[in-house]
Amino acid sequence: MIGIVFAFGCVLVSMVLALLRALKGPTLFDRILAANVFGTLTVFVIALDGYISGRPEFMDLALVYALMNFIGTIAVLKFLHARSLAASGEDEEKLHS
Amino acid sequence: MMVLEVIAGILTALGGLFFLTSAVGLMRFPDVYSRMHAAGIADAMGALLTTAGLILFSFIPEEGQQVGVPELLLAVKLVFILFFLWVSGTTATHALAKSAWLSGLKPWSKEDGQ
Repeated sequence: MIGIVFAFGCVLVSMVLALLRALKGPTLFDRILAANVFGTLTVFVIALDGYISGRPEFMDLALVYALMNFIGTIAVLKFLHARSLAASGEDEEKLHS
Repeated sequence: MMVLEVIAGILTALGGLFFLTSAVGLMRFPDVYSRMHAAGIADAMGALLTTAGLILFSFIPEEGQQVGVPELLLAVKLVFILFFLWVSGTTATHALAKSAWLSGLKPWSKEDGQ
Protein backbone atom coordinates (compact mmCIF):
# COMPACT_ATOMS: atom_id res chain seq x y z
CA MET A 1 0.00 0.00 0.00
CA ILE A 2 2.94 2.30 0.56
CA GLY A 3 3.90 1.90 -3.08
CA ILE A 4 0.40 2.88 -4.17
CA VAL A 5 0.35 5.99 -1.97
CA PHE A 6 3.81 6.97 -3.18
CA ALA A 7 2.73 6.57 -6.82
CA PHE A 8 -0.40 8.59 -6.05
CA GLY A 9 1.74 11.42 -4.71
CA CYS A 10 4.04 11.28 -7.74
CA VAL A 11 1.08 11.43 -10.09
CA LEU A 12 -0.36 14.44 -8.25
CA VAL A 13 2.95 16.31 -8.47
CA SER A 14 3.14 15.43 -12.17
CA MET A 15 -0.33 16.85 -12.67
CA VAL A 16 0.77 20.15 -11.15
CA LEU A 17 3.78 20.23 -13.49
CA ALA A 18 1.61 19.45 -16.51
CA LEU A 19 -0.75 22.27 -15.53
CA LEU A 20 2.22 24.63 -15.30
CA ARG A 21 3.17 23.70 -18.83
CA ALA A 22 -0.41 24.19 -19.96
CA LEU A 23 -0.39 27.69 -18.49
CA LYS A 24 3.07 28.63 -19.64
CA GLY A 25 3.59 26.86 -22.98
CA PRO A 26 4.26 29.47 -25.61
CA THR A 27 2.51 27.69 -28.46
CA LEU A 28 -0.95 26.17 -28.70
CA PHE A 29 0.46 22.69 -29.20
CA ASP A 30 2.25 22.82 -25.85
CA ARG A 31 -1.11 23.37 -24.23
CA ILE A 32 -2.83 20.57 -26.13
CA LEU A 33 0.01 18.21 -25.23
CA ALA A 34 -0.12 19.22 -21.58
CA ALA A 35 -3.89 18.67 -21.50
CA ASN A 36 -3.42 15.21 -22.98
CA VAL A 37 -0.78 14.34 -20.38
CA PHE A 38 -3.07 15.70 -17.67
CA GLY A 39 -5.81 13.38 -18.89
CA THR A 40 -3.52 10.36 -18.82
CA LEU A 41 -2.46 11.25 -15.28
CA THR A 42 -6.12 11.61 -14.29
CA VAL A 43 -6.70 8.03 -15.45
CA PHE A 44 -4.06 6.90 -13.00
CA VAL A 45 -5.34 9.08 -10.20
CA ILE A 46 -8.70 7.36 -10.59
CA ALA A 47 -7.16 3.88 -10.75
CA LEU A 48 -4.85 4.40 -7.76
CA ASP A 49 -7.61 6.03 -5.73
CA GLY A 50 -9.75 2.97 -6.42
CA TYR A 51 -7.10 0.82 -4.82
CA ILE A 52 -6.52 3.17 -1.89
CA SER A 53 -10.17 3.39 -0.94
CA GLY A 54 -10.84 -0.26 -1.70
CA ARG A 55 -13.41 0.29 -4.46
CA PRO A 56 -12.61 -1.73 -7.57
CA GLU A 57 -15.45 -0.08 -9.48
CA PHE A 58 -13.13 2.84 -10.20
CA MET A 59 -11.42 0.86 -12.97
CA ASP A 60 -14.52 1.37 -15.13
CA LEU A 61 -14.26 5.11 -14.57
CA ALA A 62 -10.58 5.06 -15.46
CA LEU A 63 -11.26 3.20 -18.69
CA VAL A 64 -14.03 5.63 -19.68
CA TYR A 65 -11.85 8.60 -18.88
CA ALA A 66 -9.02 7.22 -21.00
CA LEU A 67 -11.43 7.00 -23.93
CA MET A 68 -12.77 10.50 -23.40
CA ASN A 69 -9.31 12.02 -23.08
CA PHE A 70 -8.27 10.57 -26.42
CA ILE A 71 -11.45 11.71 -28.16
CA GLY A 72 -11.06 15.18 -26.68
CA THR A 73 -7.51 15.58 -27.91
CA ILE A 74 -8.38 14.42 -31.41
CA ALA A 75 -11.45 16.65 -31.50
CA VAL A 76 -9.42 19.73 -30.54
CA LEU A 77 -6.83 18.94 -33.20
CA LYS A 78 -9.46 18.40 -35.87
CA PHE A 79 -11.20 21.63 -34.97
CA LEU A 80 -7.89 23.46 -35.10
CA HIS A 81 -7.07 22.04 -38.50
CA ALA A 82 -10.40 21.98 -40.27
CA ARG A 83 -12.17 24.92 -38.59
CA SER A 84 -15.22 22.70 -38.22
CA LEU A 85 -15.89 19.44 -36.46
CA ALA A 86 -18.11 18.35 -39.35
CA ALA A 87 -15.48 18.49 -42.07
CA SER A 88 -15.25 15.20 -43.91
CA GLY A 89 -12.21 13.48 -45.35
CA GLU A 90 -12.77 14.65 -48.90
CA ASP A 91 -11.91 18.17 -47.86
CA GLU A 92 -8.30 17.16 -47.17
CA GLU A 93 -7.16 18.45 -50.57
CA LYS A 94 -8.65 21.86 -49.99
CA LEU A 95 -7.23 22.06 -46.47
CA HIS A 96 -3.65 21.42 -47.43
CA SER A 97 -3.60 23.49 -50.59
CA MET B 1 1.70 -13.15 0.23
CA MET B 2 4.39 -10.78 1.36
CA VAL B 3 6.66 -11.24 -1.65
CA LEU B 4 3.86 -10.41 -4.08
CA GLU B 5 2.96 -7.32 -2.11
CA VAL B 6 6.55 -6.10 -2.03
CA ILE B 7 7.04 -6.65 -5.76
CA ALA B 8 3.75 -4.92 -6.55
CA GLY B 9 4.67 -1.99 -4.32
CA ILE B 10 8.06 -1.60 -5.98
CA LEU B 11 6.51 -1.75 -9.46
CA THR B 12 3.88 0.85 -8.64
CA ALA B 13 6.41 3.16 -7.02
CA LEU B 14 8.67 2.89 -10.07
CA GLY B 15 5.71 3.73 -12.27
CA GLY B 16 5.09 6.82 -10.20
CA LEU B 17 8.72 7.82 -10.61
CA PHE B 18 8.43 7.51 -14.37
CA PHE B 19 5.39 9.80 -14.31
CA LEU B 20 7.44 12.31 -12.37
CA THR B 21 10.29 12.01 -14.89
CA SER B 22 7.90 12.62 -17.75
CA ALA B 23 6.43 15.71 -16.09
CA VAL B 24 9.86 17.16 -15.32
CA GLY B 25 10.83 16.57 -18.95
CA LEU B 26 7.63 18.27 -20.05
CA MET B 27 8.67 21.35 -18.09
CA ARG B 28 12.32 21.47 -19.07
CA PHE B 29 12.56 20.56 -22.74
CA PRO B 30 12.95 23.49 -25.12
CA ASP B 31 10.46 22.66 -27.86
CA VAL B 32 7.05 21.11 -28.52
CA TYR B 33 8.48 18.16 -30.43
CA SER B 34 10.91 17.21 -27.67
CA ARG B 35 8.18 17.67 -25.07
CA MET B 36 6.15 15.08 -26.95
CA HIS B 37 8.98 12.62 -26.42
CA ALA B 38 8.86 13.35 -22.70
CA ALA B 39 5.09 12.95 -22.62
CA GLY B 40 5.42 9.58 -24.31
CA ILE B 41 7.42 8.32 -21.35
CA ALA B 42 4.34 8.70 -19.16
CA ASP B 43 2.22 6.75 -21.60
CA ALA B 44 4.70 3.97 -22.24
CA MET B 45 6.71 3.31 -19.09
CA GLY B 46 4.68 4.99 -16.38
CA ALA B 47 1.44 3.35 -17.47
CA LEU B 48 3.06 -0.06 -17.94
CA LEU B 49 4.76 -0.25 -14.55
CA THR B 50 1.86 1.22 -12.60
CA THR B 51 -0.65 -1.09 -14.27
CA ALA B 52 1.60 -4.11 -13.73
CA GLY B 53 1.89 -3.23 -10.05
CA LEU B 54 -1.87 -2.76 -9.72
CA ILE B 55 -2.54 -6.09 -11.44
CA LEU B 56 -0.24 -7.82 -8.96
CA PHE B 57 -2.00 -5.98 -6.12
CA SER B 58 -5.35 -7.27 -7.33
CA PHE B 59 -4.11 -10.84 -7.09
CA ILE B 60 -3.36 -10.50 -3.36
CA PRO B 61 -6.13 -12.31 -1.48
CA GLU B 62 -7.83 -10.52 1.36
CA GLU B 63 -7.99 -12.21 4.75
CA GLY B 64 -9.25 -15.72 4.34
CA GLN B 65 -10.82 -15.33 0.90
CA GLN B 66 -9.80 -16.94 -2.33
CA VAL B 67 -8.72 -15.08 -5.42
CA GLY B 68 -11.66 -15.54 -7.74
CA VAL B 69 -13.37 -14.16 -10.77
CA PRO B 70 -13.84 -10.55 -9.50
CA GLU B 71 -10.10 -10.12 -9.11
CA LEU B 72 -9.51 -11.61 -12.54
CA LEU B 73 -12.04 -9.19 -14.00
CA LEU B 74 -10.21 -6.32 -12.33
CA ALA B 75 -6.94 -7.43 -13.88
CA VAL B 76 -8.58 -7.70 -17.30
CA LYS B 77 -9.96 -4.16 -16.97
CA LEU B 78 -6.51 -2.88 -16.09
CA VAL B 79 -5.06 -4.61 -19.15
CA PHE B 80 -7.74 -2.93 -21.28
CA ILE B 81 -6.85 0.45 -19.82
CA LEU B 82 -3.18 -0.14 -20.54
CA PHE B 83 -3.69 -1.21 -24.14
CA PHE B 84 -6.02 1.65 -24.82
CA LEU B 85 -3.60 4.16 -23.33
CA TRP B 86 -0.80 2.77 -25.49
CA VAL B 87 -2.75 2.95 -28.71
CA SER B 88 -4.36 6.30 -28.01
CA GLY B 89 -1.18 7.89 -26.69
CA THR B 90 0.74 6.97 -29.81
CA THR B 91 -2.03 8.10 -32.14
CA ALA B 92 -2.57 11.37 -30.32
CA THR B 93 1.17 12.12 -30.36
CA HIS B 94 1.30 11.48 -34.09
CA ALA B 95 -1.76 13.63 -34.74
CA LEU B 96 -0.36 16.43 -32.59
CA ALA B 97 3.06 16.32 -34.28
CA LYS B 98 1.50 16.30 -37.73
CA SER B 99 -0.76 19.18 -36.84
CA ALA B 100 2.14 21.15 -35.40
CA TRP B 101 4.27 20.51 -38.49
CA LEU B 102 1.49 21.48 -40.88
CA SER B 103 1.04 24.71 -38.94
CA GLY B 104 4.58 25.60 -39.78
CA LEU B 105 6.16 25.05 -36.37
CA LYS B 106 9.84 24.32 -36.85
CA PRO B 107 11.86 22.21 -34.40
CA TRP B 108 14.23 23.85 -31.95
CA SER B 109 17.86 23.94 -32.95
CA LYS B 110 20.84 25.07 -30.97
CA GLU B 111 21.90 27.76 -33.41
CA ASP B 112 18.71 29.68 -32.73
CA GLY B 113 20.16 30.58 -29.36
CA GLN B 114 17.07 29.81 -27.28
